[in-house]
Amino acid sequence: MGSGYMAPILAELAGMRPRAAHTVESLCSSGTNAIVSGYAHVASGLADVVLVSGAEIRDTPGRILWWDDSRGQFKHPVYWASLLTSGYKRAFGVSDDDLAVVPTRAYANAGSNPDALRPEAAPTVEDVAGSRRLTGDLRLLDCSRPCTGGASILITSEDVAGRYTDDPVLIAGIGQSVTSAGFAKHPELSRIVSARMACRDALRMAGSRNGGAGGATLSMSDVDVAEIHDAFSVCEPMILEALGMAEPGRGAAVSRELYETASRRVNPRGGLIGSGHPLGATGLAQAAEVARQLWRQARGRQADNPEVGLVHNMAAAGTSSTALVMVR
Amino acid sequence: MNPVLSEFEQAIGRGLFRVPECIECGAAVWPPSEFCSVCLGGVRLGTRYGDGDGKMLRGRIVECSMEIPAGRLAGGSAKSPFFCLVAFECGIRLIARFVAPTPPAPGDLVALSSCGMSPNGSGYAFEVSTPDAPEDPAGPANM
Repeated sequence: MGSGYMAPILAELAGMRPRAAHTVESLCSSGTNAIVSGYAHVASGLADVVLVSGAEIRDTPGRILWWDDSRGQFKHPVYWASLLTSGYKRAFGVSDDDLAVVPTRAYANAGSNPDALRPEAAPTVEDVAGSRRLTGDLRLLDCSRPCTGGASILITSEDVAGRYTDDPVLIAGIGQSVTSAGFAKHPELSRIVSARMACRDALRMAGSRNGGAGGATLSMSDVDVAEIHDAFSVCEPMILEALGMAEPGRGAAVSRELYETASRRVNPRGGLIGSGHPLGATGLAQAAEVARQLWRQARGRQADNPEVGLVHNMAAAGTSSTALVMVR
Repeated sequence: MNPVLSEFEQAIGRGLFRVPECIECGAAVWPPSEFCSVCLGGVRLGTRYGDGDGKMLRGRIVECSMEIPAGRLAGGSAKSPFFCLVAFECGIRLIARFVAPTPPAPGDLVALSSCGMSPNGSGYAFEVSTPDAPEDPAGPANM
């Protein structure tokens, strides 16, 4: 939230006296990285119960990576998003019209999410196509919106989970990947490499925990519901490809299939575009949604009988990603 | 501020681009830093571009797009709407404004035509354009 000492401040405001309280900052993936920190505390035995909270205010200065001087005067996220969009469209022959289904489905899904920051009427494909041009490759409705928001989850050891619920959700896999900090060092502008690495590792960890041995892994075909980081329209097909839900270059076609079938398998709450993107809260809101989905409590937007869920959260143009696999 | 960064910014404030390079391994260090990201060696400022001696920092466009309208997010206007990621022959990659009569395209040869501190306080500002001089027969390497 741009304020120092936030975790102890939050603890005091909530009337808590935890043994430890610290803040995790990692731009847009602060939420999932805080979950990883909480998980590590529990797994190491440093804590039995960890409250992980993320919050953001609409006009936060934290959404621009001022350190990255390789962006020159083009530091606002719409510039990297435009270059990724341009690179993706050129590499795979994808059009602006192909990408317009992403926000259209996102807003449609957000319509059944009471926590979403959404317009009264979901925009149509034509509305997206006709929305104000920000750049040659980006329209207003292609962009998630920074907003005020918050989300929290409680992480406990398996031993004490029964104090809080009879039906815990297990964090079965965690994957993280950093390819660089600066956008200019992005390995490829048509792929998000960190997403592929993080999700692969999370699925591998979940698979081995699930009884497999010797490198057993889960695959995306085992994942029933996924929350992915669609900060801009192009991110959805790029991440679908990174996760293995689409072959390279087929992500936009899979996005269209998701749109045409009104699928709830990916971003049922509306994603970042449909729900809003309060940076520090986003990863936590994604994880909370997957938990609701696994509990079958996502009223009006419930995916079909999910048993395994995945969260993908990224930062700074996809130069880093964090993924979680969650099971009931 | 570390001395390398201070010296780099003094130069760029005068329109000079000096390539930060490792004293030990020779790698370009970008964005400028006190230590080399390859070998952690010390860094010095090497070749100067922009002081009128004809030396050109050349590169090729990796990807490009355009602002509508130009300069909108900076709260003003700009002389060209085009911006692009450029891979320079010295190993540095950065986003620059493209200033030329024709639109840019990936793969186009460009040269750094100006640099300075951004008037809106967002850090450095770079411009590239189509070079006047014919391309070096050896061509930019390692892009």
